[in-house]
Amino acid sequence: MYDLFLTGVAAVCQPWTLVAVMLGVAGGLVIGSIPGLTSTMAIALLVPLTYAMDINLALPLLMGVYCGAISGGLVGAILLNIPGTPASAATCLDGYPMAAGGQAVRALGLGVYASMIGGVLSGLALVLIAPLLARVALSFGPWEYFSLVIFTFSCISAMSPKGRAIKAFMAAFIGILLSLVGLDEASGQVRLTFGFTALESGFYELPALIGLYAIPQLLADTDDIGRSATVLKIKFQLRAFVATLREVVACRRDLGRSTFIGIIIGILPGVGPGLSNIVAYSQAQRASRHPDLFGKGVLPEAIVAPEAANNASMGGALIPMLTLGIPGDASTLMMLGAFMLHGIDPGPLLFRDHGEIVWMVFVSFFVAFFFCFILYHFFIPLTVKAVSIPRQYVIPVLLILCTVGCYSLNNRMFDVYCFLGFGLLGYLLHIARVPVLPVILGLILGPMAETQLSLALAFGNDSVLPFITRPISGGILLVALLSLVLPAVLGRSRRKLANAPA
Amino acid sequence: MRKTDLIFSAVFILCFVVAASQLFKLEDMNSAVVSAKLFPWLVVGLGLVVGVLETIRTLLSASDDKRRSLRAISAVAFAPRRMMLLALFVAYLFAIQPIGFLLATAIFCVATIVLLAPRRSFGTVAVACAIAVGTSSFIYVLLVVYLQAFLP
Repeated sequence: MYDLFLTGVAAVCQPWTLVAVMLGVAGGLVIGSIPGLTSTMAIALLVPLTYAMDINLALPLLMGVYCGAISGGLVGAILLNIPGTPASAATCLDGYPMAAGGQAVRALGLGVYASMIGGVLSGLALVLIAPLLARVALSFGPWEYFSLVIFTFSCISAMSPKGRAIKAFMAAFIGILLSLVGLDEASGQVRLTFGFTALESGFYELPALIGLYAIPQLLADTDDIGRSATVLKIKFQLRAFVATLREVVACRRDLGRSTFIGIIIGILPGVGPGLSNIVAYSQAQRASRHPDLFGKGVLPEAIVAPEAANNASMGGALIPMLTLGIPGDASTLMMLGAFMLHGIDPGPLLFRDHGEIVWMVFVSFFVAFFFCFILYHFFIPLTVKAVSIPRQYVIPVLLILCTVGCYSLNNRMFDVYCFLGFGLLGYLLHIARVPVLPVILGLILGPMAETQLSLALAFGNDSVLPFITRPISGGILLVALLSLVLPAVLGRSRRKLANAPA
Repeated sequence: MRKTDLIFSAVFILCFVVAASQLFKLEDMNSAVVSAKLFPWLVVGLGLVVGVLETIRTLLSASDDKRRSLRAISAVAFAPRRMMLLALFVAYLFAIQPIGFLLATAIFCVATIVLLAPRRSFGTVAVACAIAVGTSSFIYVLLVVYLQAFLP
C-alpha cells in the first residue's frame, strides 16, 4: 500500500500534472460559482476534451474540476442568494443574510474553510474505506452486483420528493431501455434499432450524459437573461478572511457531525451533495442552543454545517464509484464516464489491477483541495466577477464546447446528433418534472444488470433463489425493499400521530 | 400538473409498447431461460407496470394546481428565448458540415449572443464578435494544435 501511495504521489507531483490540477480547480471554481452551472456541467464539458490526454494528466485534471466546482457554489449562494450549484442551496439561508449585513468576507471565509476541512476529512474516509470495501467486493458474485443495481434505483426512488418516486422508476426504465439499443453481444442479434444501422453500436454513454444534463439546463438558463440580480459588493481583506478559520475550528462539533452526514449521504448511490447540505443544516439547527437565530445570518455553524457536508459528500460519492462502479451522484457519474473513456472499468478489480491509478485519484483529491485552499485566498475577487457574467455570453460558448467534446470522442457527427437527441429527451423530462439522474444511471447500469442477471441465472441453473439465500445479496435486497417501504410507513404513522387528539 | 403527468405516462406506455413490438422479432438461440429476450422483456414488462401504476396514481391524485397547469407549464417550456436558442442550436449542428465548423461556430456564437441579449446595441455585437473569435481560436488551438484531434 505504501508503494502504491508513493507511486500516486510521484504521478501527481509532476509539474504538468500539478498545473493541470490547478487549472482544473480554477476552472471549476469559476464555473461552480456561476449560478446554474453545476459541477456536473463542468466535468461534462471537460471529459471529452481529455480523450486525447494521457490518463495521468486527465484524471487529476478532472479531480481538480470536481473539487473546484462543488466548492465554487458557495460564492453565488453567499453574494447573490442563488446557489452556484444545488450543493450550496442551504448555504444561502444564512450566508446571504450575513453578507447583506456587511460581513461578506466572514461568510465567505466560514464557507471556504468549512468546505476545505469537510473535503479533506472525506478524502481520509475515502482512503480508509475504499480499499476495505474493494476487498469485500472482490468476493461479490453476479447475484450481489445485480442486487446492488436494484439497491441503487431503490435509493434514488426513496430520496425523490413526495409523489415523484414512481416517476424516478419510470426514468430508470427509460435509461435501461435505451441501454438495450444495439447489438446483443451474447446472441449476435440487434435489438430496438428499428432498422437504423447507425444504432447497431448502441448509444455511447458520454454524448447521452452531456446531452441529458447540459441542454435542458442551458435552455432553462435563458430565463435568467436580463434579470437584474444584485451581487453584494465586498471589500476583500485577506486578514479578515483568514481570521474566520478560528471560528470554523470553534464549531468542531458541527463540523464533525456535518462531515459524517456528508460522507454517509455521499456513499448512498444516486444521492449527493445536493441533499447532504440540507440535512446537515437542519441537524445543526436541531442541535443548536439558538435554533431561532438560524436564517438570520448570525451563527457561524449555520454556514459551516452545510458547506462541510457538501464537500464531505465528494469523498463519500467516490467510494461506491471506485469500488463498485456505481456512482454516488451525478458528478461522479461523469467521472465514471471519464474512467470508461480511458479504458478503465471502476470496481474491485481496479484496486487489484490498477492500484497506482486508484492512488493517483486519492492523491489528486487532496492536491485539488490544497489548490482550492490556496486559490480561494487570492481569487475571491475573480469568482465574484464570474458570478455576474451575463448568461447570454456563457450559454453559446458552453453549447459549442459540448458539441466539440461529443464529436471528438469518435470523430463522427452521429454522436453530436445523439447529444442533441438526448438533450431534447432531457428537456421533455425536465418539463414533466421527471428526474434525469435515473435515466443516466439506467443507461450506464443497464448493461451491467443484464450481464450479471444472465450470469447469475446461468450459474444458479436458472434459479432466482440465490438472490435471496446468499447473505450479502439477500441483505442488499432487504435494505432496498426497506428503503422503499419504510418512508411510506413512517410518513403514515407520523401523520396519524399528528392528527391524533392531544 | 395532472394533465402533464397523464401525457407523460401515456407517451411512456406508448414507447414501451412499441419497444415490446420490436422484441417479438428476436429469436431464441437456445431453450435456456437466459437469452437475448429475457432482460428486455423484464424491463419492458416492469416498465409497463410502473407506467400503469403512475397513471392510476395521477388519476387518483388531487385536482390540478393552477400554477402547474398544462398551460402554465407550456408557457414556460416553450418560452420564446428557449425556443430561439433551441432553433439556433439545431440550425448550427446541421450547418457544421455544409459550411464548415469554424464559420458555423462563429455565426452561431454571434447570432445567439445578439438575439438573446435583452438590449441590442453596437456594444453587444462587438462583444459577441470578440467571444466568437475567442471561442473559435481557443477550440482550434486546443484541439488541432495541442491535442491533435479533428474538428467536426
